[in-house]
Amino acid sequence: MNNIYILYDAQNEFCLRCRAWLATEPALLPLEFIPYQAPELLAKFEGIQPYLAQNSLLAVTAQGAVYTGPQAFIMCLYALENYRDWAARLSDPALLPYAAQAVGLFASFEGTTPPWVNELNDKDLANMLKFQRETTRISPLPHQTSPV
Amino acid sequence: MNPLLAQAAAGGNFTVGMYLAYLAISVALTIWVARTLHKNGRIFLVDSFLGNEGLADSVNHLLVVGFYLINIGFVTLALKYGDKAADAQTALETLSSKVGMVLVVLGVMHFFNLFVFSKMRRRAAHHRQPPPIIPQGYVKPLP
Repeated sequence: MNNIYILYDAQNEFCLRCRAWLATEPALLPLEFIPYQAPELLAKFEGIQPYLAQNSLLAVTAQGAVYTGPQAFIMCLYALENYRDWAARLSDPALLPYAAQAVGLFASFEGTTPPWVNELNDKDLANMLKFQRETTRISPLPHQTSPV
Repeated sequence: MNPLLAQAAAGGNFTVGMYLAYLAISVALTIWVARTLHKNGRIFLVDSFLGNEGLADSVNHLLVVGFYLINIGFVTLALKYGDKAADAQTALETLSSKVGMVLVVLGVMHFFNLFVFSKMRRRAAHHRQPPPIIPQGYVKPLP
């Protein structure tokens, strides 16, 4: 597998923030970012229409495999050189639902993830990310749209 | 004959003999270790380079050349350091210590090579990891 295409909602602030951070990180597999709103999207990825999810992003490999929901965020981390181990860790069923929040967390550190993040055990990490997710879901402010 | 000259001549024979024995033994040992690394390190490199045998052989050969350069260089530089041999006993003692030093250096280089091999292999394994999840769907593969 060579390229990974990240299809994202260009009208969603969370997606834009993640995209900005992912573009700055060194990648083992080159990431190419294409917004949903791009006109050539449906022509380039035949059959992608049912997978397009608002306020979230998709990962599509050159072989045609589509990853949606939390799995798309796992693939984002898998492509990055420094976060591939995180992708494996977050694919655990206890942490998988919070993959989007994890990417948001790394994006907020803008490249220099502090050591305490790596030392969190699974339970604390899950609680931290779960809290983040629940609070934004219950009463999201207009600018706080984040994926489910 | 001048007693000093006689002593120097006697010591000279022992020293030269000791030097020659030192060079012969050290070079033979270097060749042995280099051949061991070349033969047994090849499989590490082939695995690190995903079965690309041509590339692995090339890198293996380059590493062995570097190994020879450093070790034979060290052996020849270290030749004149140490006690000169006045008699057979001192000659053997000095020879033994010099060969011992060469062996220790060869050992260090050997383990360093092994470390380099294992690091290359581990890095290659990390790069080759498949995704930890399965896809949720499929679209037509891109050209």
